[in-house]
Amino acid sequence: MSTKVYTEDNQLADPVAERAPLVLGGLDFHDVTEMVVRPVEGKTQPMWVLAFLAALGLLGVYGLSVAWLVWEGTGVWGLNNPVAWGWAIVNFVFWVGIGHAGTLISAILFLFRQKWRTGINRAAEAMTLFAVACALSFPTIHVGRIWLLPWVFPIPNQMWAWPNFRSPLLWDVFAVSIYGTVSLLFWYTGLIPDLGTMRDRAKGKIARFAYGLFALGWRGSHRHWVNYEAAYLILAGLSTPLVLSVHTIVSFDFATSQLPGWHTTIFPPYFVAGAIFSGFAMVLTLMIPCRVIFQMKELITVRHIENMAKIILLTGSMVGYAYAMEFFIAWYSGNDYEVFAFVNRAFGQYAWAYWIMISCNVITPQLFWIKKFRTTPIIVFVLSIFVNIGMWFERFVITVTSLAADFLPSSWAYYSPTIFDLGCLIGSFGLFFTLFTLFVRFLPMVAIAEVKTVMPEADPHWHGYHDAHDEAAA
Amino acid sequence: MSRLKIANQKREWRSLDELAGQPDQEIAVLESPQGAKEWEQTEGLSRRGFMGAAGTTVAASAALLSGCIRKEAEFIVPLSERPEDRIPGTPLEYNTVASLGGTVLGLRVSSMDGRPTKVEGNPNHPNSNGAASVFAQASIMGLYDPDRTHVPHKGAEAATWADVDAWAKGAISGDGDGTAILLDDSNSPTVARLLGELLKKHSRLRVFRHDAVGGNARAGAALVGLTGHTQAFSLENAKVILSADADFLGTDGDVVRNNRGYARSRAVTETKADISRLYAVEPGFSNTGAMADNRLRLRGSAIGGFLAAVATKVFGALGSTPAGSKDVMVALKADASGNEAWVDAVAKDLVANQGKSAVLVGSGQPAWVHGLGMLMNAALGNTGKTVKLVASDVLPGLPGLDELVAVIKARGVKTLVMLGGNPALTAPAELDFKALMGSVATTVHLSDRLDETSRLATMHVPVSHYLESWGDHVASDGTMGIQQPLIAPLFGTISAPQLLGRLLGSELSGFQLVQETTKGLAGGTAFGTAWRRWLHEGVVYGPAEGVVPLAAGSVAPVAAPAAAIEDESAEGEPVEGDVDGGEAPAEEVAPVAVATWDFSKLAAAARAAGAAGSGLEISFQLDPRVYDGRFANVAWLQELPCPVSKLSWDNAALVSPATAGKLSIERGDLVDLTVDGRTVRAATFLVPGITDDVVVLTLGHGRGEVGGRFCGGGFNAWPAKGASWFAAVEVKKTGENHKLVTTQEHGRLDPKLNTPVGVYQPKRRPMVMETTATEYDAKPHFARHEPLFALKSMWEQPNVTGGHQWGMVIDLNNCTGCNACTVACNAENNVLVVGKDRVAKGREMHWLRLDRYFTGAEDNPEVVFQPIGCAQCETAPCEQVCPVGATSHSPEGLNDMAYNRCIGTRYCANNCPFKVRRFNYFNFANENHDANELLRMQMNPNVTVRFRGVIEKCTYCVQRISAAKVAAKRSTNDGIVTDGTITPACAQTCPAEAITFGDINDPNSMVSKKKASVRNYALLADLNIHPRTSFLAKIRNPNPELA
Repeated sequence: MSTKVYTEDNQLADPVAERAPLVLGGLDFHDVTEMVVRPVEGKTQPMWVLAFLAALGLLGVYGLSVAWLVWEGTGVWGLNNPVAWGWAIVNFVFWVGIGHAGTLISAILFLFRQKWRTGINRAAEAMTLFAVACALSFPTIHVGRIWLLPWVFPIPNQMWAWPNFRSPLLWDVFAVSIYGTVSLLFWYTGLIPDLGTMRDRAKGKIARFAYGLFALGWRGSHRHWVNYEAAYLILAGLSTPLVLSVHTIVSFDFATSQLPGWHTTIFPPYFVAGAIFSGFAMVLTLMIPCRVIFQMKELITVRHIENMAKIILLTGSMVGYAYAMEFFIAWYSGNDYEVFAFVNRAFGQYAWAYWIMISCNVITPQLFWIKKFRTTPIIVFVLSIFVNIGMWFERFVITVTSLAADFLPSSWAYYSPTIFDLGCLIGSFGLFFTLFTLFVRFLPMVAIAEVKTVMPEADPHWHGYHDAHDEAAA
Repeated sequence: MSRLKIANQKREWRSLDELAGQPDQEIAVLESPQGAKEWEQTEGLSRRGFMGAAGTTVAASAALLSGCIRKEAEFIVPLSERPEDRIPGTPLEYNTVASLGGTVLGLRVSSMDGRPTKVEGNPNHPNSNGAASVFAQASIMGLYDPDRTHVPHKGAEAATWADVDAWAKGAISGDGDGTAILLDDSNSPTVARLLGELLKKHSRLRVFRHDAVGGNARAGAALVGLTGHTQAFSLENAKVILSADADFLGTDGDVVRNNRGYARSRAVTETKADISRLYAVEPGFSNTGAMADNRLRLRGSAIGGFLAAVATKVFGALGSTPAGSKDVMVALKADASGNEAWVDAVAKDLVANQGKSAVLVGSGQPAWVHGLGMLMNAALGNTGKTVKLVASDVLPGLPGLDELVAVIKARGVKTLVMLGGNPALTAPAELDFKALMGSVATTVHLSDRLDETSRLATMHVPVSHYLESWGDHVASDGTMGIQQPLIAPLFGTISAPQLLGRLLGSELSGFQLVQETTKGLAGGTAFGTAWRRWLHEGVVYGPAEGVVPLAAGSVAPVAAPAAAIEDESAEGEPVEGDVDGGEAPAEEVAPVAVATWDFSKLAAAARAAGAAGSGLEISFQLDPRVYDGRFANVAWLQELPCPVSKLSWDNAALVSPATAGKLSIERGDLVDLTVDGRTVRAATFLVPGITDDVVVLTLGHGRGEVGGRFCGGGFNAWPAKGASWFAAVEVKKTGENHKLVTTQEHGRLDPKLNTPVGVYQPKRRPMVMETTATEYDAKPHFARHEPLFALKSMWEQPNVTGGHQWGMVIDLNNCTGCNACTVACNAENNVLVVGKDRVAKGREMHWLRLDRYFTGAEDNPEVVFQPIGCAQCETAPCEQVCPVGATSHSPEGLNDMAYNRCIGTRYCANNCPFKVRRFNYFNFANENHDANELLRMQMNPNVTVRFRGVIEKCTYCVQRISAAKVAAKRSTNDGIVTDGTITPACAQTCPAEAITFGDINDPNSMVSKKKASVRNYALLADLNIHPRTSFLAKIRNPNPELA
């Protein structure tokens, strides 16, 4: 074993001299495999059953809320005449934002050779997919006549009725569905070697068949690895612009309209920064408990947490800058409607929401300047939840305050949600956690093959081999 | 689909039959050999049945005669040849008249395949001039009111028509002693004639009139010796108008006529605003107050004193008082305290504009103030110029309800027949009329439902709606018109003349009774010809000395009735002649010389007048939606926002914020209002501009189930109201709360925000452009502002030129905020009612709304109104964002909605800067039809009824545009629609002529000319949306002396 000196947060005392290992605890390849497959191959834990049932219960709430919504009409929500978009759109943007972290970690960090990503990319990508699923559910249930939703797709028909390609909502349809598709492909491609591992280790017939089916005949041959890595690189390249484009296009829903407070050129970068901000917060919210529950502290180390906290600090500062810049531009534009929209956000009827947003999104991430906070998982966990709350409120503030008070004061109104708005929000968490609990039970939540590539043993010239060689020679 | 429809209709008719207690038709239907259920004609309700009744042309009056008689159920077969003029889906129009909320209006009603669907004004009738009021627009729903009774009732028990006939036969015996007849506020020569005949038979029969609203005006005329005279104003000739608590633009009297006159008196040229000046003195905040150039907040009890002070000044300045009015001068208790400047300024203005001024007194002011107002008009030489003084009352000088009560108390009455009205609700509380009704052995009430009076009466007789019965009405200016039915009575009900006919033992139908009355009016013309013309044009033209043949001496003093009617040339005109003949239908009588007036009673009344109260005072007012309660069961009106308070579905005790502060009450607090020991409970609502220390409570709400299924909201003010419309009141908080809903929470164009760094007070938004007459003269182009934040457009302006290009101009200088347009839109476009809870959520569906903004001082603000419907932007923000292209532009510049294509993303509503798009959050259509199973009959078949989950909005009445284009293509070579052919429902009904619609591609069209005006401006032009609806700026004309 190595005799290097590490600080407690897994950093080398002298980072220039040598890189710190990404996997701690002196694990070898086999230990990593065993550690990751334990939750999948082990007995069903009562805790997992409880968590799954709770998530399923919330999903049931979603089902009932949506059923009532479709049966009765959109009016079961709290929408009104000026505020025609409410929590459903807030939730949509919130979930799409969360869906940014996974692909960013997998693709962009992959391209940037950030090897620490391997510890968290599988779970983060899964989170992305589930968040995108939640996100997609909202525009679907949000329309007044859900049964006519296929009309948003350019399906040739005898009426020659095409969708309106000028509508940002249509761009949304394409942007989010492409993002979801590519993310799924990317995630699945990364899973294939591990599915092979699972198949090979499977004891039951069904498990062997299922894993085998999805492993697509993976044998780990040299040719497989070459094709796999090429495919993975291509998908990473494809995903990278999508990470930036999805939320840009989601922001167009607002930015291309002409409402004061929506009609803002800063929205695309501001939305992307916010999305990464919220996505990383959600990754932390999920991974910090997971590494404890599934005993993977050696794979998902404090260093991972700290890195993510740093990204939150960066993107959180960008979001804070955007908030300030919105105000400045509103004033600088000389447009009274814009100025009013922003002053009204901060001091009008929705000031409470605005200040929740500011506290959570601007103040909270600044605490990560303190190293102690970055490296204490429980603090990071708590702060990440604040960021999640803050980012939900950001979307609420944007969506609702601008609609509630626009040009003609005669039509201004106050929007408040109903129990069905709430049901859809917490219900979407049910959908998310149902999928996530199934994921941790049936799929390896850490990319086994990828983690191994960043272990010292992956290097053919690793001194451990030399030591053994030397011993043998001696 | 069509099968389903038929099945639904079938069910609807059947349920009506069951409601009506008719025998079940099911067996007959099952046994029908043809199985052609849909052609079966059930009692009074079959589509074809209506066609039989109403589809027949007026020329075939014989057919009308038989058509109105209800037929036995029978099977008919489709016509093998379509008769001329009967095109399914194409409406036919008929003229009629109706007495609607204190005024007689000439109406033109559309009949769609036999169903009356839409009411408009009759251009031939001087009281409507082609326009209609809120009440007239909503009256169609009175016909389809689901809570009308179908059969007579004895107490709560259903009775039969045989019972009524049996009673009528022996109702009045011998000389009629102990029998009294109580009339309502209607003014029908046929009723008068029949009463005369009854009196001939039964000399001791007593006739009374209870006019709960107009009683003070009648009494006022009597005080100056002009019993039976009414004032009909021609405000277009006025330069100075003084309203003493008269909401003549909203609810009080001839609002349609007065709106038109007032609007015309405000016409400005491109360079000069030489317009009338309106002074309003009022306790509440009415439409008239909102339009006033100078508005004085004054409690109701102080208005008499104020007017007396003005009168004293005026007479002083005139140098001579009208002969015989010296006593009045001495008796007047002038009280200008605190308002001396006002009195001086108003008097000066009035005197400077002799013959060009008008003094209007509100229904709520006591009789002597009305008398004084008439005296002032006469002294100022206004009679014959701005005021027509007409002996229009066909039954002048009838004793009132108080005298009936005195008679009942003194001698007892055995039989009381109440022809309409609702005295148990509207009688002054002191009279305790409800209790007295119990002491009368037989009380018979003719009304459309088991209302407050009918429930107490021993017999209730259901009355026909004006659209289903014959009648006649004389308007305040003496114009007489025939009330012509458009449909056989839905439920087999009878009219007031019919009931009187039964009392006379006559077998004549309503049609025959009315014809009988008018027999003498034809003069030299053959009666048949004259009659057809009267029906066709909606106005009775007769010999100059046309006298309604009322037996002399039959009813108290009968003055020369219904005004003079123009002599009509002997030649009968072809009935199908030009409707807009343009001849003056009625000529006013010669001005009554003031010298002949008798002022002794007025002096006595003025002497007896009380002083202005101090302390908290209540002011009862007519409700701008339900009048005195008679329209309370019309859901359209319940949902209609009040012009100034914007309250919907409720009335409330309106107080100024200062008063609320003093009483420490807030919006929605339930308070007990005690007047003379009578307490009513009401929720409070704060309205800036209400006179301090005054509580304004409108009448007619809160009638609960008695009024009908839509009457539950609000608070019934009648139980507290005595004879006086204002009184000292005690306000006690109950600690309870009531949810009041309003369609407009924000009333300022420059909303303030409190921030930690001070108050943020933005500039006033350039939504409603207004200026004063003086400033306009100096700078007429003031409204032509540069766009404040002119955005650069990245796109080329779409090419919307050529052919017809529709556009609209709304003249804010004319709009009085009367709401008629909103209700007209409801009726024309099948706009649905959503109910109070949904209005509270902000989900009302009105396509056209009236925005109200307060401007100026917080304690005494001015109000501006702005009608907002879809502006049909050329670069419409809504069109760009719809993902399925459900809303797109027509080549004629309309922003079209394809309801079928709409999936309901509501993005268009978000992006609409006017927020005029409305979303069907629930299946409002089903809800509406469930709430009122008769509603289907009113629906305009040319407008899609929108389904749940789709957006809807104003279309400029595209169905009317299409119909006109089809007609133009058939009748002209070029297919061009001539200007003025198309009038959207809002523009058609606007009594103030504020809305102009037409082709902006035609430089000679009225709308193009108006758009060329210096006052023309586009709302939110900064957004590059190029709206097709533009506005003409408002000009106020305040008196500089009162600045």
